[in-house]
Amino acid sequence: MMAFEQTFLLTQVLISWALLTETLELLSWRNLCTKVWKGADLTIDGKVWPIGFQAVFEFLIQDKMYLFLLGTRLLLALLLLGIAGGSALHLFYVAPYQNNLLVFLLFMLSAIVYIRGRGTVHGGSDFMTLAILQGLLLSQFFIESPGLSKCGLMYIALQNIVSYFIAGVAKIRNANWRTGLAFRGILAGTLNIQIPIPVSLFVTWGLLIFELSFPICLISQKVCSVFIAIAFSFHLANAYFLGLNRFVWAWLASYPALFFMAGLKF
Amino acid sequence: MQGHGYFLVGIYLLVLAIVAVSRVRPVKSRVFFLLRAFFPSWKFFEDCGYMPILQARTKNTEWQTMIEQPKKKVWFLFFFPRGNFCLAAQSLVQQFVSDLDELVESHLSDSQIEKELTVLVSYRLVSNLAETLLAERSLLSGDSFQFRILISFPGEPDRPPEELIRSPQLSVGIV
Repeated sequence: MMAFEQTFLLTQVLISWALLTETLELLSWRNLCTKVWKGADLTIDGKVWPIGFQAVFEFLIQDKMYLFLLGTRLLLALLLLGIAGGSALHLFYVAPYQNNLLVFLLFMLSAIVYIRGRGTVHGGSDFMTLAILQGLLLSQFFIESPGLSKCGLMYIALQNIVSYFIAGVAKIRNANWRTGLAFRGILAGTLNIQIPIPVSLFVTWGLLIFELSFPICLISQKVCSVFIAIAFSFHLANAYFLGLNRFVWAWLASYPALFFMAGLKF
Repeated sequence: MQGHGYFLVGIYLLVLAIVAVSRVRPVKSRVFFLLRAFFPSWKFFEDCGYMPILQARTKNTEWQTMIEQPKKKVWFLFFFPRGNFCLAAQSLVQQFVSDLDELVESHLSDSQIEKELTVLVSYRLVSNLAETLLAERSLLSGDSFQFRILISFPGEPDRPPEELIRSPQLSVGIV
């Protein structure tokens, strides 16, 4: 069974890698971003905030501030990766809960970047990124109490399970998914591929059964390993066919916590 | 995991399933919209019956589809900025379509809708997007451009796309 501290470290390593690669991508298309998501246009969104926050919001979404925030986020992600990675590889040792300031700053910077993107930039992978950072902060906040500290990792694990389960429930309620039309439509719309309905039905129901049965992964770590392997393959396929590479790294960072929770004895 | 651990997790997931299947009204608060990364919605591809397509043109060009997924290079898994830009751009177009739906449902007159459109953040951002992508393709030769949103139905290959909205002629800004 993976120890709590090992899980904590590994989660920090993987989420810092996800943040690092995401920030490099955002920096790469920063010119496009500031031409489309112009600070001057986004200030209209600022009117929804209480008066005291409007000035802060308008300051933070300025185009030059955006570049500064991304640059800072890149450096902090690299630092966390270095420290957590070095500890994980036994090159030196820094207890994972001592990185709490880094995690907190990365959480705040990520939140600002996503708010500037009008909620999210990458959709679901942003949700998972923030959920993982929240879970790490929760664990660190209760570090004096071993029992409560595990709650942070459990939060990450439950968000992971819920992400698959709710996705399955939402699909199975939709007749287009039950009849295979939705999956066929996605392939037609994104890849210009038409597949026969029986093939689409087979793939669709395989996916639905997988997503809806995901909570079973908590039975044991062996069963959890199988679910993680299938889930990771699913994300790799989505990355290849739909371009959703960010989901691979965000969800990968949540698997150590899931594996840890499957090994817990209540 | 043993004993009442299963029970607790089972209860939690049962509550989530009940919430997932029950009818929910979407929260229309703009603050909540900006903070939605803190409130994950894991309903991916819940409704994929239609897909909005952004097209743009200038006086000298025909309508062109603006957002096209780039080919993947070997390292796309680690670094795919153009692909993620296109996904973010497509989400922006989707946001605009949702905002437009809300405007139409508010039963305003056409002239009022036109007026409200120009102050919609998503309308401005989609205008910027169309202008930026036209400029990228060196198609912005004059001083104006126009965009439109088509709705396609990928699951119905025989059904042609339908035009949802067409912008007036827009002045080229400093891009």
